[in-house]
Amino acid sequence: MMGLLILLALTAPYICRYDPMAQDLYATLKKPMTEGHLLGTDQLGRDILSRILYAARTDLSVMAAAEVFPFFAGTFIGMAAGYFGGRADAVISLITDTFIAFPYYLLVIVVAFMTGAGIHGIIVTFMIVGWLVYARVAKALAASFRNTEWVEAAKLLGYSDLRIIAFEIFPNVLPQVVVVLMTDMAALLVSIVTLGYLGIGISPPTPDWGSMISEGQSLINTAPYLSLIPGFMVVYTGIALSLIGDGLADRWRR
Amino acid sequence: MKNVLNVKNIYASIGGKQILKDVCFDISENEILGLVGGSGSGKSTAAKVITGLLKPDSGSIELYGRKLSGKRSRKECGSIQMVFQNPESSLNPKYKIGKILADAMSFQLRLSREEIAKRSADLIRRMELPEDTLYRYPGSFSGGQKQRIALARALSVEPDLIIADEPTSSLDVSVQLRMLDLIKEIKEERGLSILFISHDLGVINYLCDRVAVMKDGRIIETGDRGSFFEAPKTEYGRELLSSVPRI
Repeated sequence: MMGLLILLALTAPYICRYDPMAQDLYATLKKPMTEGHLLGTDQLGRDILSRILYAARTDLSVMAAAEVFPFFAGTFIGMAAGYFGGRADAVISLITDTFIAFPYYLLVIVVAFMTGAGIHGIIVTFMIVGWLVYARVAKALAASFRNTEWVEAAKLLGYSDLRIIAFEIFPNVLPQVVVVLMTDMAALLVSIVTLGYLGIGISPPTPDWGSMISEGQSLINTAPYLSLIPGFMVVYTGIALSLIGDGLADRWRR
Repeated sequence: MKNVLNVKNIYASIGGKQILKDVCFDISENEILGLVGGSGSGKSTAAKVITGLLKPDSGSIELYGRKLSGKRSRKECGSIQMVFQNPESSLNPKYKIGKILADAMSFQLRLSREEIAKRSADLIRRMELPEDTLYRYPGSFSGGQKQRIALARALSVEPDLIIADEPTSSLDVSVQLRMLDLIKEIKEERGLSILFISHDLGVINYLCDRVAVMKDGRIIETGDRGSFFEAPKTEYGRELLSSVPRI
């Protein structure tokens, strides 16, 4: 499912017959399945299929870019906190609890305003808050492994703490954090789309599912497909991501 | 016989509570010292202090007369290895046995890949484990097999001393006996020193050369196996002996 979506997004320039931003005021609001426009056109006569696929490119790449750093940083910070325990754990807990007590969207919106709307704002915002969820999960797991005999055996062999965290604990934490990664990516996608919908995300005319939904909203009675199609894409991607998470978790569970 | 390990006047505490009080004992080459005592007497804490997992409050630990410092070198770490009580959590579940052994040997002994492969195969055979052991994950073995793998890992880095903390207490009787015999044979073959911790006096009697009795964090009695089992010097020793069911 996800593979198909990524493939379509990657090959968008080759599939699409229309420029996603090209307006054609003589062909506005064509219904889906119209000649030449598989998914119809919007109120400015832009081809919806092209816009959907180009939006997939933007949304998915922002999602991936904004997720990479928090995933690794959060996982390693969390593992270190859980493994060392004591003061390191207390400091990390204080930071995560403070951030988590903060309403997430408020924070995102504040940062988005500070850094300005657009792709960079979203990535920066997510780098600031995104690592917390990984840190929490990784910390809890690492703390549960800290006193197991296989970790003690590794210490007895003289392995360094870094080596134990990276090569003994990390493989055991990975399945769980990857499941978190997938659900978190879905949540991130929703926030990217939400920000787009609110007009502080990816700025028009760059195609984005969120702004497409909001642009279509005013015509929801006459042309519901304008909002429904990008809405469906969000749901589709969310399901695909969580299926990947489940699949990977099953494979790694031994 | 040469002394391998000297434990001198160790005091240690966990979470502010003093567990070990003035613990002293030694182990010679090619000797198994049995450390007995009820639960909570401090046996496992003593093991942790000797391996360096727990820092003592005071006292010293000497290996071949050389004092071990708080921060141990790679070689010092490798010279004391341990077999743990619980076979289920002794091995990292994410790695195949071959990798667990190979990592230990390449880190500790810096051997070539061929040498590691050869030694791994020898160890597995010596431990009477299945041929394909090296290619399997820990989850696919029984408790007794896992304990023998843990023993193989400990032996792989050529330690001077092995601490076995109740390694057979979770195994059933027939498996237990084979494991004890293996430990005995390995000791003879390699001239190893072993600190064997157990609350099971039957096991201690079967396996050990000398016995040390621990109570409330102190060593209250040490002696040869024969003399301890015939005539314990302390009241507590007699109590322990009389609590063993006679068959």
